[in-house]
Amino acid sequence: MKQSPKLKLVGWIYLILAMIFVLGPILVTIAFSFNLDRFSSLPWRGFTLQWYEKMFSNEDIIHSLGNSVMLGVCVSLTAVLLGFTGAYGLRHWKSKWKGAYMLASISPLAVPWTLMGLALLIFFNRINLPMSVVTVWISHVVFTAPLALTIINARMQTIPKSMENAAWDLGAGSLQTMFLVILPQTLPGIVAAALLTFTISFDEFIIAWFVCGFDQTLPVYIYSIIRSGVSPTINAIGTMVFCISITLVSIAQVLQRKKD
Amino acid sequence: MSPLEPVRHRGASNRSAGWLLPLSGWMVIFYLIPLVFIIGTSFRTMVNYQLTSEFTMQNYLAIFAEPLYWKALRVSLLLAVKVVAITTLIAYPLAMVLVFIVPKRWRTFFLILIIAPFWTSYLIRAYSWFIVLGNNGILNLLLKSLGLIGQPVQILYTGTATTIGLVHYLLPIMTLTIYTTLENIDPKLLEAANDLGAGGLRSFFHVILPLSAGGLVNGMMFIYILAFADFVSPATLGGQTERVFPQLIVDAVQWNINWPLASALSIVMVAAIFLVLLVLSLFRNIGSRENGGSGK
Repeated sequence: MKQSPKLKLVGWIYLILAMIFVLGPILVTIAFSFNLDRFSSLPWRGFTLQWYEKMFSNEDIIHSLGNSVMLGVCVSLTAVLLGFTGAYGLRHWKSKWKGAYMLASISPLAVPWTLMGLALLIFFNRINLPMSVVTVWISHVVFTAPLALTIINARMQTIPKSMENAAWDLGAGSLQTMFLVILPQTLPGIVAAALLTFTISFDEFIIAWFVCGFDQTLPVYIYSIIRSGVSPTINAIGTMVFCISITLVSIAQVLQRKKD
Repeated sequence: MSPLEPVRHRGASNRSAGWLLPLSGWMVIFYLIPLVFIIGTSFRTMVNYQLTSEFTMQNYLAIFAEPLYWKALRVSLLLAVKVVAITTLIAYPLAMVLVFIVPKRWRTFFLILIIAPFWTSYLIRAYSWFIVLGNNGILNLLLKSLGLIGQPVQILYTGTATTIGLVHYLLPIMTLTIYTTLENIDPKLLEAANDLGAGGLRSFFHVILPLSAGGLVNGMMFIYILAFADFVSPATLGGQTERVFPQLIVDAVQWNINWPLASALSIVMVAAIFLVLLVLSLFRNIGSRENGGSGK
């Protein structure tokens, strides 16, 4: 479509305004995490790293950060494992129920998290499983596995069936075919799914709030302190969380968009 | 069966059920059963922090008799509709700019910059607005230095702040959804419209909008669910000035330790959400039939 230069200019201005809206507050938080002043406001008083020192000397923060990192790794590994086996199973499953199965397995993504969190809280209580990071791990897999399934499935579908058949005809067994043909070709999808599910679990707050008990994850800890208002230490935590998440997600996005 | 077709292919197909087992098992035990449990719990009561075993409708009756819950339901519904409307109005032109104006090699770059925040901590994103919107925040300082206001405007801890937080939360995913459908429109159709003398506006209303309607509606439904069920923005940025429905669920769990009531509340919430979606999808079906089934 051809556009007049005027329309193009308006478009670019709109894009830049939208970027300011989306990224502005985040950049402001990052900037103020380095501000000497205790109050996150202008004028700028000078550069400091003291809020980061404060953050890393706070035991609650370190403990919940440790919980969240461990949680993210476990959730990501489990989700990818379930997603990969599920996608591989779906690839070879010839049934009219395939579509329905797919729909049912991605349905957790549409269930409000408040309901899911409460349902899991009641369930764990009923089976006498004490609330801890373990229950958060189980809960997070419920909605990250469907996401991993869709991402890995999308990638796996780009592998032609003929390639698998060729491997079989050349004498490769079912496991050999999977490890030598399917797995390497699906790898970008697997890595993207792993990064994305880690990030989601690392940042998820609502379900974690319901089922973590006294084992606070980082978002649950952050929630307990942000309602009291702005503090430079939270700016520092926020900056750290952002840098971790944005990096992982950007890599995942690039991997997913790359179609060769 | 021809002798050329190796039996192994069929064997692999039969074993597929085994590969589906881990995922299916996890979903049945930790997704379906908890959902059954929450429905069951909503028909119980709690005495001395213990669930009773007899069936009762009392929680639902209490919810329908209490004006506080009706009010919260209305507040949540209006908030969700407002957020969906504003987000869509911002996201649609944004997606159009990305598809039709930004050169191809720059698209992924801008797209990632806009979408990446969706996958990062929503809590921190809500928090970042504290610094911007506060009485001594950047926005008030900016408006004051421009001479537009004398006194700082109270935005933080109001419904406006809640709305801003939610729009900020949902804009990336809405933009991505619309972007994906717009990108799939065949440029030849737009050329054809252009060749047939359609101006920009006519191409938009007769080609672009109808062809992107499917993605648009899906995106709106998705962010409607998220906006309705959210309590983070109302509880932090909104300062709990207006009680939203999900907040009542949280209160019932946190302060009253009344799980049966909380269960009934969350089921009512989901029912309300999907009732609205159902009504909308009926309209959509009627609409698409009138267009000769081309609504999608």
